[in-house]
Amino acid sequence: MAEPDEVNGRQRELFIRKSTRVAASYLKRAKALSEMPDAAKPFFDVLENVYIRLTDVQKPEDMKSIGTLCVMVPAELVYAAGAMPVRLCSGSYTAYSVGDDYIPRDACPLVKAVMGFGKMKVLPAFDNCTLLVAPVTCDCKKKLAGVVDSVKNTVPLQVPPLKREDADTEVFLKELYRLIPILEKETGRQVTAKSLAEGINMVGNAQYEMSEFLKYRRHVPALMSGTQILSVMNAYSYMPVKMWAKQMHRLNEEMKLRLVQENFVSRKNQPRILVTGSPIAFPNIKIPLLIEEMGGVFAADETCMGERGLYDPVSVIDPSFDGMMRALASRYTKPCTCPVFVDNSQRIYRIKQMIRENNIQGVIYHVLRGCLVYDYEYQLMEEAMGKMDIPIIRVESDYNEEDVEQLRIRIEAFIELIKLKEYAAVHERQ
Amino acid sequence: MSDLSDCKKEIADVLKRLLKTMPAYKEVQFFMECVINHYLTGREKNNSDIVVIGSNIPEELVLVEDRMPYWILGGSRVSSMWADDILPRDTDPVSRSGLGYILSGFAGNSLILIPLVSDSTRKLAFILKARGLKVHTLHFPPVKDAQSLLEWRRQYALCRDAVALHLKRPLSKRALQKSREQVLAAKRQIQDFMEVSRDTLGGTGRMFILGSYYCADHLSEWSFQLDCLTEKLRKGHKRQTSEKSKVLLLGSPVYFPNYKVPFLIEEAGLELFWQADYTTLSMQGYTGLEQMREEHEADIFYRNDTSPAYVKNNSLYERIEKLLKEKEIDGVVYHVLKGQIEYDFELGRFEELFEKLDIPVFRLETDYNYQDIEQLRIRLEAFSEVLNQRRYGRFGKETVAV
Repeated sequence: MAEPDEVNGRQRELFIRKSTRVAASYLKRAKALSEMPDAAKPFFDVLENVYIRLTDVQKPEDMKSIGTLCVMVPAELVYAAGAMPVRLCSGSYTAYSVGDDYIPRDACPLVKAVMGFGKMKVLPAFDNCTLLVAPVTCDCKKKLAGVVDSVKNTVPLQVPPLKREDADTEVFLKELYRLIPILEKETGRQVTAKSLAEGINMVGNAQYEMSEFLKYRRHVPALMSGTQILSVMNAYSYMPVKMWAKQMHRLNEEMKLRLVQENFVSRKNQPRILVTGSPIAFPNIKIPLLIEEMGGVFAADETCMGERGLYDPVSVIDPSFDGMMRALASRYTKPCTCPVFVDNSQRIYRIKQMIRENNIQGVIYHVLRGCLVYDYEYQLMEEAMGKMDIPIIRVESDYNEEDVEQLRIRIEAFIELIKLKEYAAVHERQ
Repeated sequence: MSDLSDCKKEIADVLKRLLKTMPAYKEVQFFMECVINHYLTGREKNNSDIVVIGSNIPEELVLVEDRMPYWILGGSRVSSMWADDILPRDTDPVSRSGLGYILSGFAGNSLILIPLVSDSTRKLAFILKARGLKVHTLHFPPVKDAQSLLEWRRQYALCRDAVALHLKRPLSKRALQKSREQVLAAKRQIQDFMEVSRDTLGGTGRMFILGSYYCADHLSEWSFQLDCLTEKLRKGHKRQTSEKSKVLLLGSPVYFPNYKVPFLIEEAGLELFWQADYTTLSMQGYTGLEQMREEHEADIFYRNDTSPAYVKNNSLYERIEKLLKEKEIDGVVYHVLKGQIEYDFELGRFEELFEKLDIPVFRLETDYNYQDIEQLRIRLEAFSEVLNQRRYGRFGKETVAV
């Protein structure tokens, strides 16, 4: 009988082979969708380095990595403490299947993937994080924070369930203040007004580049494939913000050129689709890929691994330390459209706004199995879309490839439906 | 539209089964009537000022001049079907049942208090608010530390103010203290009942009597009747149950009329020795007056709360550890209602504890439907066999029930 270490070694080998193969295949498919801008290549390189070459995130040697589990952890604060935030929400199917042994069956796959990487210790981007900040948002993340501490030093970050009143933001503010000494202890650097302002500026700069980029994304016909755009946004999790913003600036320049040269990647009449719901984390990009492979344009997304993560900049009114902290607490709760909040009607307004701005013709509502909070909001969304006469479908999926063909048929039918609807509308106008 | 006759039938069926297991004392009658009034007459009258969805709320806030609020615990299979069209497929049956109950036209003018212990409770609060109902939520900071305690006190004060505003009368410190003492007296009574009834009542019967707490109109009357029943039981005949394997029922709470699991446990030849979910534990959580004087009035509840609202449910873990030291338990049935993922997360830690203590644990996943009942019966019977074999090994053949 094989020794436990030997089994473990073989398991690791198998794990690495499978996980890198899946990541490589998705990356290849994403690249092949349409002519990729040259400036997008560094983002793809980052994903390749993290998930295929299994190297650590690219950062200065003396800079520590702090793992985060969702967009509710202020990156500005981590940068102010002299560390780099690495968002560990992963879409790895292989890590998910490992995590399945440690996390209850009905928990969401994202949480299982996090646990899977924690147990396997094959992903340097994960393993080199000296601390994990886990926001207590949904039930799965809440309980994960209590379980994942067996593999990684974890700090739960409490998020209030309400966000309307100032007192609720105050709760989050206190949590952020509580986080500061923990980060300082970890990095050995103090969070000062100056470093915090720098952190806010750095992230703000990235958000500015993002907002510029979104202007190009809205263009009809599309200038770049939506799946490639999502990959660019996913790369934000593993890149120092300054580097990401710099590359994004280059990408914006190239998009500008593409616009001038009318170098489009879609036709004018291709159905434009918005994806909302559970996060789409690399390498689980099967839904955007299917949309584009079936002839749709993945024109916008309202997910936390996509546009939502970099949507609102921190708006500092009072430049004192406390003023900046308040601005952070406010930015990470008030405009957040995560369904963990009791009243999240804002999300519907945001999606309506996105539909108008992006000329959206159909909405795909993505629900990861076990992600109940998003499922709860589907009915409201369905009603709102009905009033706007925008077709919507709910697509439930998991971290495996077994449902791909089923999803393909549904997405293809959905795209056909939008085309027919548009055809009928044009016919009526004529 | 919801059909009340199905609801009535569901309750009648369970009560009929329960009656067969209970001694024919007139003292039991009060508790039966209490439950019938709550689910049928009380529901139809629809005149409660305060409605609480779930049990996880400091009772002194909702006990107004001895009058209990209308508790909706969510144990009805029938009412869970009323919410089928509104809720996602994977929603747990407790939340389904609670929402179905309210949406059947109940609580139009009441203040609905919702303790936010899970994702479902958050989203339920929004659904009800969106339908124009008056809702107040109570948040439990998920990590119990000094800072959380302050936030909890704020939540407590907000809830107190919301109740006072709705009732249009101040909830003074004195009034709260009086209610707290009443609750304390009832809990002391419950502890006494639990000790006495162990040898005289079956586990499901005990569960029913305890559960009727949430059906009472007036707490003092309920306490008095429990006292009468306890005295009667003290004098009554003891049951011959010592040969059966004793099981602890842990995990998702079991609420009336969903007594599928306790009935099955007893039918499998096991003794339902103790129930340790957060609702039952909070009823048995006796806090001495001394502690009450020393601590801030709100803190006691938060410190002792064993609901799954926390990152690490240390309070529950400690209570179970203590319970296992004090009571002789042969096995544990860990009950997980479909969709209540938090309990499944907590199981891992308990499994380690039970393994250390050499206590077999049996995870039982179910919902409010009856399709899985035969499957569960077979599994429980097998578990019962295992426990009996272990007892056989420990005490010898003569003590094992055949």
